[in-house]
Amino acid sequence: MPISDDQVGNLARLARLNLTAVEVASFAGDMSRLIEYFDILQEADTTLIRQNSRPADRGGLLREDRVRPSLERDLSLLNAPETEAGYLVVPKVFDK
Amino acid sequence: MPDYQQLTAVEIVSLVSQGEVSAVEITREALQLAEAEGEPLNAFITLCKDRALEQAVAIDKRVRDDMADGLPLLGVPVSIKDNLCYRDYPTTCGSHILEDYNPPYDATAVSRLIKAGAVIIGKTNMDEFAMGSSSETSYFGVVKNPLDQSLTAGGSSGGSAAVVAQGIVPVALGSETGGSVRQPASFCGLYGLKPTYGSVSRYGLVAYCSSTDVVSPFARDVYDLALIFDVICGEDNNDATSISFDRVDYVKDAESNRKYRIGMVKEHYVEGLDPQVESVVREAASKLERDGHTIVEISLPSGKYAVAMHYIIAPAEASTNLARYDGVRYGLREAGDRELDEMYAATREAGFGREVKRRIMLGTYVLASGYYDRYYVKAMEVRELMRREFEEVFKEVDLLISPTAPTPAFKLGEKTHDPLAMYLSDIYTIPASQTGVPALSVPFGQAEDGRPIGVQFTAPWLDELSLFRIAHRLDHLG
Repeated sequence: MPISDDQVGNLARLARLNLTAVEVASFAGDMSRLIEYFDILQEADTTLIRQNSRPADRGGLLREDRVRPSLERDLSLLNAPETEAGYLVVPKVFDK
Repeated sequence: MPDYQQLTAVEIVSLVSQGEVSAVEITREALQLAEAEGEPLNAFITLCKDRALEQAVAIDKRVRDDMADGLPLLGVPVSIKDNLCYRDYPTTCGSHILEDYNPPYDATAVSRLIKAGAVIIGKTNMDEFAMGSSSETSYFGVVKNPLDQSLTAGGSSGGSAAVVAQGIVPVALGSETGGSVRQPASFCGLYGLKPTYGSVSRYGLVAYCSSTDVVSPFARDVYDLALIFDVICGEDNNDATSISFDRVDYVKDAESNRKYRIGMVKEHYVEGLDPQVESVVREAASKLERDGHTIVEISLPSGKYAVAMHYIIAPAEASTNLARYDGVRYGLREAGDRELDEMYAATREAGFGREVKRRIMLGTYVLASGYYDRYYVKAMEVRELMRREFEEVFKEVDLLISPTAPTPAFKLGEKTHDPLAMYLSDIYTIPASQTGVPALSVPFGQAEDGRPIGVQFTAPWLDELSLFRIAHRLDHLG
């Protein structure tokens, strides 16, 4: 099932990516081919796995819940594009 | 000083600890080579000159003060892949979006190297966010193979492979997600180990596919490889997926006369495998057989799903992990007078390269409602199927022998326009990544034109020691 340019555009919005028209066309082609290749997995009989367990569920190992020091705020903010008085500054969210 | 480029890490430790050569002399040599020979290969993104020399001066002082006993990497120059955090030095991940990111802390693997007496020479070039099999997707340009500059050094840890192969450092750290150390090791004639998932902390390793990412070393010598693994492995409270396990002496016990039962996977010898690679693997197997090991044919039927499974799971996790690059907390911001939503999309448009965007898109697709069960859930089930097959197989055999990569190093540019062809080059390395078992690429033979070929051994969970032993044995057999 080929992936259309529209679908690619929609996914790009979900992924918060701006894509150029050239990228959209090229990704639609690449992704169609890859998704078609991925269908090989449908051959695999995984009935037993579906019935018996969820993959990657090995019973969690949890560490002790103890407060310990972490990176100081000033250090964690050092790489932020814009900060003010210990806060991250972002562009406005709403229209005026 | 003996020819530095031929020295192993073990030899450097011995020279420095006995005061025959100073750590400063060794470091200067490594830095000078990094500039003269590393630059033409485009192997480094950043050299850490000042701090490397400071570290070397401090090591020499410890040697003079008789305080350096037992430091396993005393004075050994090491390079680290640029997705490992190194305090106050750029950690770019090969990406424009992190070009100016200077982490305020060290990755656990890196701080363990430093504590062991290593000197960090520089940060090596890599595929952007480790997404690639040829080190061609880096924002900072492609890495060249030191053995032939028209060839890829492999990827995604191509820079680390190149600097070890060129003799700039004896050992280096890369990282693995689906073969990113074993494949470049095969392409550059090196040893490359993918440790058991969780045996080396991921703290400070920039996340790509968190369920398979592992910090992984390169070396030119088996003992060096065992040594650096011994230094970086072990439980870490800062990584919730790190595991605790009984340590053995990987270096001392690497030499052994144990005879192994080794499985050859019958499904591996099919179309797509270069006959030269096949004959090298078969030659290695028959040498081991003559040495008293047993070779048996086994079956791993789920192997044919490996590439499809991996290129669903890895992009799915990548699309989630890379959501953090939004121009708010660190990295690039394309602000202008945009509103928040537009700033996110513009930042990510400008900051990510094409392969990264492609994988974010693919990951978003396989996780989208309507496709999630068919692709992501199915891939997770196939991963579990494969894990169970490995469990069964390792009841029959101690190790597996296989090709590392289907071909020797390919030409730069050969696969950049065909993502599926590029992804298929990971077919033999993905199973160990997706099941978590350790695997090692051993330099063994070469193609007619001299390109190196690696043979891969895979062991059960946490049996790295058997990998070092079989590699040591094979080296001995020549």
